[in-house]
Amino acid sequence: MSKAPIKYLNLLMLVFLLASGNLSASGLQETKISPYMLFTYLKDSNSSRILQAKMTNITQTGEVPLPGLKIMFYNNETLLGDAVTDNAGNAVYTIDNAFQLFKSDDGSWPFTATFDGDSLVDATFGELSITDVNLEMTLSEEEGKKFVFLSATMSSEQGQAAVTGEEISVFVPRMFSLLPVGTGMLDDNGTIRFEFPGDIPGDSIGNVTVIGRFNDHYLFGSVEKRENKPWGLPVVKAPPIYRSLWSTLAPKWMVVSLAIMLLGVWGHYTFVVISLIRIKKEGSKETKK
Amino acid sequence: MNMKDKKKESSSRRRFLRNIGLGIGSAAIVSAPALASNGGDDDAGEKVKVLTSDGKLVEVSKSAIKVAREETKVQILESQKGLPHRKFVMVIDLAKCKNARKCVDACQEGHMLPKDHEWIQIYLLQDSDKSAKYWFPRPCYHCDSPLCVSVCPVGATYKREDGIVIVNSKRCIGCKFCMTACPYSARVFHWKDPEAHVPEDHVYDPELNVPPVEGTVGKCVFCADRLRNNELPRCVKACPMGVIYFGDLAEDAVTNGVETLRFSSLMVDKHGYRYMEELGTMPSVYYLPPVNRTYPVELGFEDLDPAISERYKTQTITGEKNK
Amino acid sequence: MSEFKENLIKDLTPEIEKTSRSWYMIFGFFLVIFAYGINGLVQQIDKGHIVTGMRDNVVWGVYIVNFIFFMGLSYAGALVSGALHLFKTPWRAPVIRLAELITVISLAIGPFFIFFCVGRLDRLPYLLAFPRIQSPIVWDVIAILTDVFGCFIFLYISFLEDFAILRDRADLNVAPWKKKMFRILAIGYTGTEKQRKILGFARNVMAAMIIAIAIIVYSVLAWIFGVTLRPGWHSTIFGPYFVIAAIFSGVGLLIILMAIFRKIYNLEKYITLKHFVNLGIVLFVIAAFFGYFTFSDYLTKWYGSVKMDKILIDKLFTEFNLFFIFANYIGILTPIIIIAIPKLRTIRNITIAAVIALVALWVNRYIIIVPTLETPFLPIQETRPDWTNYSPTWVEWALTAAGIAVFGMLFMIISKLAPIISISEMEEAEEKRILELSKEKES
Repeated sequence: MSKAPIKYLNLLMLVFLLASGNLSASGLQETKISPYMLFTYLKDSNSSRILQAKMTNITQTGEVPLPGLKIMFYNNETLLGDAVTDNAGNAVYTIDNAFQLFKSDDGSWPFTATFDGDSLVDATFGELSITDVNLEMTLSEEEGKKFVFLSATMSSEQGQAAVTGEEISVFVPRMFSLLPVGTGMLDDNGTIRFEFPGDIPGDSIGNVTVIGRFNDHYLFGSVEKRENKPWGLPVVKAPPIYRSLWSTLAPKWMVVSLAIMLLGVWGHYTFVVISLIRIKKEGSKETKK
Repeated sequence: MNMKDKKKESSSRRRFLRNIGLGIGSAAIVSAPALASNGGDDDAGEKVKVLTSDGKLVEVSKSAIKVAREETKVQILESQKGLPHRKFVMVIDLAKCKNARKCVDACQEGHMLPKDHEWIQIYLLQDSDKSAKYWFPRPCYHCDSPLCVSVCPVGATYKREDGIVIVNSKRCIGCKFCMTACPYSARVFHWKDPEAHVPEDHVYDPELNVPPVEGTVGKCVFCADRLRNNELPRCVKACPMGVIYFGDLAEDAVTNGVETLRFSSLMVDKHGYRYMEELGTMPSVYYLPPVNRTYPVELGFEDLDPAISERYKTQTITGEKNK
Repeated sequence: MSEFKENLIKDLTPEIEKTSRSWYMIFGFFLVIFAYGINGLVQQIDKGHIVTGMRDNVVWGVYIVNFIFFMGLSYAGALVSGALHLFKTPWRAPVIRLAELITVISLAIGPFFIFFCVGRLDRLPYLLAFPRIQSPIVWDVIAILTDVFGCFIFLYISFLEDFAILRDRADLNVAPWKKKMFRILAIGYTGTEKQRKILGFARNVMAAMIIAIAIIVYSVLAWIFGVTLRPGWHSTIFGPYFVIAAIFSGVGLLIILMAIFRKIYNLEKYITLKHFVNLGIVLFVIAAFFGYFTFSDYLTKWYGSVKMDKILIDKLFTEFNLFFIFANYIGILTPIIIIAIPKLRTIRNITIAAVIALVALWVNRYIIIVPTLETPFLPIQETRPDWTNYSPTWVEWALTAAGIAVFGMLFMIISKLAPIISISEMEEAEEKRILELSKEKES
């Protein structure tokens, strides 16, 4: 979240657009918006299961988020709950940990997110099949090197089975996205060990958040584990240049030279003006005589 | 259906959906220019159905419609400070650009620019007689030693701590000295009234720089308004080829909305360079050379507005008019 | 009062006393041109700068050329008047007043062309409210303000004695308001020894100041171009080059105005061939320097292989060929040839040489500014012809003509308020001459 003071306009109304261009054409009330839904699943570091539906309208010049739409989330036929899309078009629903989800025959949870449509926006829906996976991450240091150990298991008839041959990555969060610092395949034991690079910039004291994550996996959705570690390079910003050609304050020599020149010239002017005044005084003395 | 088939089906569907949804420039302000381009006058009496944020449908007259802005509006003083502890940098991969011009469109839409104002301009360049031609997107370079800032007599343009050079349209007197000083022709001037309409209670902020003001200078500002919400600039999100990467140099990471890479490895692996480095302005925009092109140059003329495609027939090397 | 002075006053005062019909006609003509220019300005303010020929590449055009040109004319007073005064050149007396008037009037007109070029006239006060002293334009603002003030004081000081003479002249047939004006402006100067000394010293100080300030002003103007990176502008010679060009134009205009006023006010007795020849020789020397600077600037550009320099030179030698030849060959060689050959040194020829030099200098400024702006580093990929090549529109020409018209009008007005030739200077020169003669007789 931005740290800057956030000012929002004082309004309630939102405008929906068709393709950018003619509003005055008859289109607005007759053709409906055909939305695009991006339906995703995330199992976060605390093992909370989160369903997210992002509703946007794809126009000529870009993707416009659609706020204020009510999305219903289902597991098979059961309604889990609903959420309304925010200003960015995201509707987020967190599945209660205690809730027992319905599993299909292949062991995955079927999820559906639906939007029933209204007078402006067409109905749409999204589907997901998520297989639950348990991800464990251990961070360790040996001989000055840093290691990330990931282990993934999923439940089967025999209890917990190792997840083999699936792609998993280690990320570091950056300002706009996650930066991958290692990608690999889980071995036969369902584990993998990455060496964490030693030159990743962190915050001012060198802390980074290490993320082990299945990123948008076709089976598991997104599953991650996060941990903060002082494994990054401390980044301290150089102080800004106070005096330069392009800063607010001019270089000292410039200010001094200018002051000297101006004082010199206008000093002479003052002398001349005073001379004129003296002439005038002389003149009035003369006329008095 | 076994796992493998499902994997193929789901992943291809997912990929297909993702490719459609590839950040093709998102901004809630998009609604404003669309309104603006038609003026509000002839729509005054027309009623429109509008959805409120709590899900109710209401009918309002078009002229009363206000626009929701996600972007933070900051006052001019705040915009001078910049985002703390950031140093923004952009990398443009010339091997992938095919003159799709979606970046130009998204930028113009977002900042309510007239059609002939291009804050990011696509050139067709040729480094020497025997070199191949390539498409060259040129935004403002936000130089670390900006000549344009040095010569501004009233301080209407200034460089912030996060590296972004901003123009304050409320201070600019239109002397155009910055335009003569910029060696990259990155600035444009509003020679006539841009005729952009904004809602009455709109507060001007230099980061979005809307509405454009007649008689002042404008240029790319790295979409500083979107950066406050940790969103990528409009051109970055709009590019269908993922040509433009953007990030924080302090974090050593740049992203084009789809893939995120380490800036330092990009510079090493693909030999990033800056345009006309010898001028010493120290731009914040790096280029990756046009080798191993994804598309042939000629593809950039496909589906191009004839007026625009005529442009590229004039000269590709400065001063040498094409035969 | 000496006979000389009596004759002098008799010859000079008629112009102040009455106004001929032809004066009104010429003034009216200038006024019409001025009105046409104002019309153009109104169009520009109303419709925006799109009515001019300036576009995103050539952002500075005829207005800036005019600005530099008029500022250059101000050198007439600075160097001719100031330098001649400090060197106590004997023949300076009749021309010094004209030179100072040229300075003040052209300094009054020049900055207006900057105002026309600025996109937002309503924000002009920001230059004084929020100045950034790293910007050459702010240096320019400070320098011009200082220069205007200084030249005004200098002009006033040189007028002071004449105002006193006119005030004391009982049989002056002028309107009462003019008499009152002379009295106020003379600030009680009665010619006492002490007053003379004070005045003389002040005048010397100002003369020196004027020269120094004029050089600074014009160098600062040159550095507005010099500090950018563009080919053709990023030249180390620009400071001195512009100063020389300014002196050149100032002297040229002085010669022209001398010829004009000599004719219309019948001042043949005072402004003689000798003055034309002497100023002509100054013109000759300056032209030689100017030609040398121009040649050295372009030689180094042409010889080296820097791509952008080559492109600029190509442009100058093809597209701007005629301009280049006129400005840098004809404009320099004509004065040199005419003045070098003694047979050709007539008043008429020297005036023609001055006219050619002046116009050539305007064209020279044009080919310094415009071709550089038409060759940016990144190629101009544009289909619209007015975005690729600059061609001034009627608005710009109208305002140029208006500037010249205002120049003429201001001169005409001042010539009705005070004598064009400095009576006190002439008197002083005559006294010196008589002193010299009597010294010779004694020896």
